[in-house]
Amino acid sequence: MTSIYVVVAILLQIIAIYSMKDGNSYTPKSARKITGYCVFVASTFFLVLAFGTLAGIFVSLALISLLGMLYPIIVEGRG
Amino acid sequence: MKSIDIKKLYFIHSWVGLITGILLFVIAFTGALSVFGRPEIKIWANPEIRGEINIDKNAIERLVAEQAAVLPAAYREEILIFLPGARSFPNLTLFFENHEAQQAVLLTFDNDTLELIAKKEGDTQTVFSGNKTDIADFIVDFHADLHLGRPVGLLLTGLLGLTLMASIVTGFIIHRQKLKQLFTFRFKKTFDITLADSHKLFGVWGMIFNGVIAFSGAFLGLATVLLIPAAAFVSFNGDQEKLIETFTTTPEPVLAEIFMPTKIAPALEHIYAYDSDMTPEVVTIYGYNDENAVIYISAVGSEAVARQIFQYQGGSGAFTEAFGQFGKVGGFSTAVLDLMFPLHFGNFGGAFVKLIWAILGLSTALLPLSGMMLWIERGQKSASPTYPKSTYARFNRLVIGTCGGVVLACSLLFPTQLILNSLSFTANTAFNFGIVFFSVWLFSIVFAFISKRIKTAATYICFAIAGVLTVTPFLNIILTGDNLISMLFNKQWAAGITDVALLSFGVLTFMMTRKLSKASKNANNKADTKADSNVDNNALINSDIQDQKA
Repeated sequence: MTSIYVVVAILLQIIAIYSMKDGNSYTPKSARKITGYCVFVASTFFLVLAFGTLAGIFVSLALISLLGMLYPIIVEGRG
Repeated sequence: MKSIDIKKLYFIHSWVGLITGILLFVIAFTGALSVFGRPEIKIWANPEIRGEINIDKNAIERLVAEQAAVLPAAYREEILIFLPGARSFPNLTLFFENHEAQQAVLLTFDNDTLELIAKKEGDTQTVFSGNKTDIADFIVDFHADLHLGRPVGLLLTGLLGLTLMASIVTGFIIHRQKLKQLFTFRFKKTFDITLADSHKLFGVWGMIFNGVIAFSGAFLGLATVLLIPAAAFVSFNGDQEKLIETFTTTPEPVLAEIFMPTKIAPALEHIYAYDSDMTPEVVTIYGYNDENAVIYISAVGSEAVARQIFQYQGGSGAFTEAFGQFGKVGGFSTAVLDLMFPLHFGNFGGAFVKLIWAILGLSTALLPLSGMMLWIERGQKSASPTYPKSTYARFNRLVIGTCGGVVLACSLLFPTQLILNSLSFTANTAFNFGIVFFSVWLFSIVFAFISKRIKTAATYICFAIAGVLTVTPFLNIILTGDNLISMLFNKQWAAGITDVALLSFGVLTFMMTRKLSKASKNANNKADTKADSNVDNNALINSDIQDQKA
């Protein structure tokens, strides 16, 4: 079950970063940011389920840092 | 903030980075490796503990009873049981200490047969010195104190934590206008643009992580050297022992002097059943075979993040309570103290968390490297550089030699470990590791300085790293007989994953070096072609002018 929570959390964090960086052009920037924050909170919730409250919050912050770094590198590398 | 203040901060940021950058890379890179030091790399380094270790809890209890019976009663004041493979000791190890005489006995047992392998007697320091060092111990100790010894080395690494914090703060202030570039990474532009983008990308996204690592690193480095003496000076008239006694959450019991056999097995059964994600490491028994005996078991990996200590009644082995190492003292600061170690090494959530910590640790290492390379690149390209171009070139060689060299030296420790394991005459393994590590590192620095072209030197160093990492898993098959399939069937997960990681990093380094080397050659060819065409054009123009004159 822990693995499923972690996979869901990773996917949610990728969606959060995507919505903050790219999103779709019809949605206002502020709405995309709020969506990004909400999805990030949701991902933290899944990590809390997987690792416990304190550990889940720490892992969530570390994971968003890592994915935030990798996202532009991967996107630019593919583009 | 005024632009003049920003300039001052930029100046501080640059110089702090240039002075400490190389050391910071070395510390951060070895730190990223240390995340997997214990137990993963330790298990890989010791083939005898690669499989699952299932020692019967009752057998451990019997073993302690047997050994305690042959030792004088004074040695029962404190008994430590180092569970195999969890921390420093690959084998089950018992430690009996006589506090009054300050003498101790250290016994090492075979994990399968529980036969006595080694026995050491003497004062506490003597029995722990001269133990077999493996690659995990070497790398973790190097990360902690650079092998410079405890006061000097710890002070240096602690100060590096503080300088990293200074760089994070100054970097954040000088780049705050550029936070919009949080998602900008221009890989196909010029080298200095890519460097600048990657420096900002690693710096901004990794700011919280780097801040935590810097703060906890500074604390762990300076705690024993400066903070404890300072706190003792302020609150305990300089009495450090009294300070430690006040904050000790595992006090020794007052002995009843009534015989009652200590039950270790129920305590061990309880902790292994308590949380499957947790790894018990050390069992401490005070007042063995006394009615008031107490058992403490320390374990990592619980949901509480911090290392947990489980307390049991010695006579019954019944669980009393679980608490953090300092948490029992109470207060916010002790809770923060408890979090320092797990947040620094990421050992609280299993392999997944360790992987995140290791990759983020590598990004911390790349942060000073990209900063230094950026300074060199801008200086070399500048029309009016602050320093002569030769200064930038020499610094470039130093950066590539030391940073590439430390990666190569660390990589070479893996095959060295396998070779040392296969040789029976190697008594002082720490010395052998030191010889290999420091000579390879020194050779890389010298090689970077004597090479005609620094790019070629960097390419050779990277290819050497790739080669060593790729060859190691095959060397493992030859020397230990363990291959990926056998490790899979024998459930040797830690060793198997380490081999896969080494192979993957080796192949990845090879591919990236090849790609970058090709790109560099193409860029050089283009530059040469452009220069040639410029010469041709100039010749044509000159001949035209001469024709016109004629």
